[in-house]
Amino acid sequence: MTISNIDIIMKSGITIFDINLKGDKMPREKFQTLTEQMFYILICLQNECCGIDIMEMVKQMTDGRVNVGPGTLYNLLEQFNDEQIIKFTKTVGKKRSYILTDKGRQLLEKEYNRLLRQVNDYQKYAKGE
Amino acid sequence: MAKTKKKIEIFDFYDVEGMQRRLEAMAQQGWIIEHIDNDIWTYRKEQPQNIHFAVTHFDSYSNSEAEPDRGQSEYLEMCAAAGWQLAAQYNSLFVFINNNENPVPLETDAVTQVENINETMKTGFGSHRIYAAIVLLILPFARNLMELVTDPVKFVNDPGHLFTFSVIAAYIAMFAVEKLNYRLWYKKAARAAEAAGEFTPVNKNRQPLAMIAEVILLLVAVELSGKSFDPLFLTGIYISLALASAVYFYGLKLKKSVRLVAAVAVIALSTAIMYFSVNAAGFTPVEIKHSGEENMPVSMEKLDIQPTTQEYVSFSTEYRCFLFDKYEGSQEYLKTDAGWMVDDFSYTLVKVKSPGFYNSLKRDYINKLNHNKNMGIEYWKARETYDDTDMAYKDHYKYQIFYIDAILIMRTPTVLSEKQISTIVSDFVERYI
Repeated sequence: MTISNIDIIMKSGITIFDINLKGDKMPREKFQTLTEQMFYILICLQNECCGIDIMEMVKQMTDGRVNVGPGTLYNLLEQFNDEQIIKFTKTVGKKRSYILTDKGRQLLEKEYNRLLRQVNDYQKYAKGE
Repeated sequence: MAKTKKKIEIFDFYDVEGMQRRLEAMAQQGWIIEHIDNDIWTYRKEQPQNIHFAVTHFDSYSNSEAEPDRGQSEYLEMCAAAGWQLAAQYNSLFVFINNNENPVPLETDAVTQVENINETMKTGFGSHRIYAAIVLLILPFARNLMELVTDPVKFVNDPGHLFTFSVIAAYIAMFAVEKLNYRLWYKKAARAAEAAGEFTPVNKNRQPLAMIAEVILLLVAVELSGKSFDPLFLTGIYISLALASAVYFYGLKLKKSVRLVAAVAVIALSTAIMYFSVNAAGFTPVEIKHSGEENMPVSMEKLDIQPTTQEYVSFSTEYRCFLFDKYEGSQEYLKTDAGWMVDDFSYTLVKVKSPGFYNSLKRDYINKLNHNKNMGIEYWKARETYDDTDMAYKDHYKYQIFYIDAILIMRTPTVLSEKQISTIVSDFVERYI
């Protein structure tokens, strides 16, 4: 605890009542849109595969442009599984495999259409095609 | 040359980049992290090298190396496939090492990373430190607070109370500030991760400052207890701290159960030392009780006051603590129709040592009695005087006399004459204050 800390707190207008023990939801609405990494992970999971396979596949698919770190991948797989976007299929040794659910396929399709609309809009308005 | 060394590394638990920088700097000097136990990190000697570290939190962790959680096994397997080998773990805190020149970072999505830290804060490492301590402290703090509200005079009479209260209040304030700091960082980090996809580092590691503040607050608490310079008391504190530190620093190679027993022994020993030093130093307030009017500086006999009844007993008490000295005396008779003892004549002289405390006491008394202001003030030689019939016993009179640093409360069965007042002032007030 320092004076500068207290200053920050005083200036920020945050009071003790603002302390939320459960924590806030992140501003990004969960999976309303997909990040590039999420998008490629879900593409990989159209076929059953494990986390290590996904890291390699995404790298190959994007020629190394998109990399998914193992920490991020593990957390995203957990979140996808919790939201029933993917489902667990089997465990071989320490590797767990997953596959896309119907909900996951719809989500991927929705994201594809969104991106497609963006591309179309770009061609129509930016390129004048 | 030593093959390993232990260092105290104090970081906010969410300052993962700060920890990474520290580990990389140590590796450049040839010290590689080997083991983490809370704030004590063990390094082993190797060749100086430029290697990459990743510090992350994994909230569904297991401390068992033999049987790690299935999710943890999968996590470690994925990390290993990307070249990240687990170097050390302390609860949810995982430290990975990577010898590749340009490895794929362990975390490649700032939003997920910040979310993950927040999850750990709610369920793991962060919350353990803060909430467990608050839960442990909240009950004694509430009890202290109740005593302070219901009977402030009794509360401040006891330096032990003040010491406990100050320590607890200081710790709760520290935890609140720590939590608030985290919330400030989290809000900023969440926004930055969403808007720019960047992880927000902790600007400055304030944990060492927080620990210094903790020590200062503890010393303030000791100061409040009024015996800060008592050598025995301080020795007690220092011996406790030294022993606890010794167990903490050098007991790491021992089994956990042995360390637990040792820690309990240290606590028991330090408590005994404190108890001894506190008592030996006369830390507790001095209270001397007398019976019989001959020990009273003023009494009905000495003032020539006619008692309500001839059957009465006399008591007097001298009470000395660091905030004030208090002299009390009463001559009581049994009120037969009511069945309880009644003060026929009583006095309380409080010699206040703290101006702030004087003012609050004065406010308290004036609210209770507000009549005949300053009647006979010249005889009392006081700054302010009030007298009235006693609210409880209408046939008695009550006097409240305020001096510069003392307050005198008296109850008498008759109105005091000028001569009696002069006797009280010369034989009692002037002698005791």
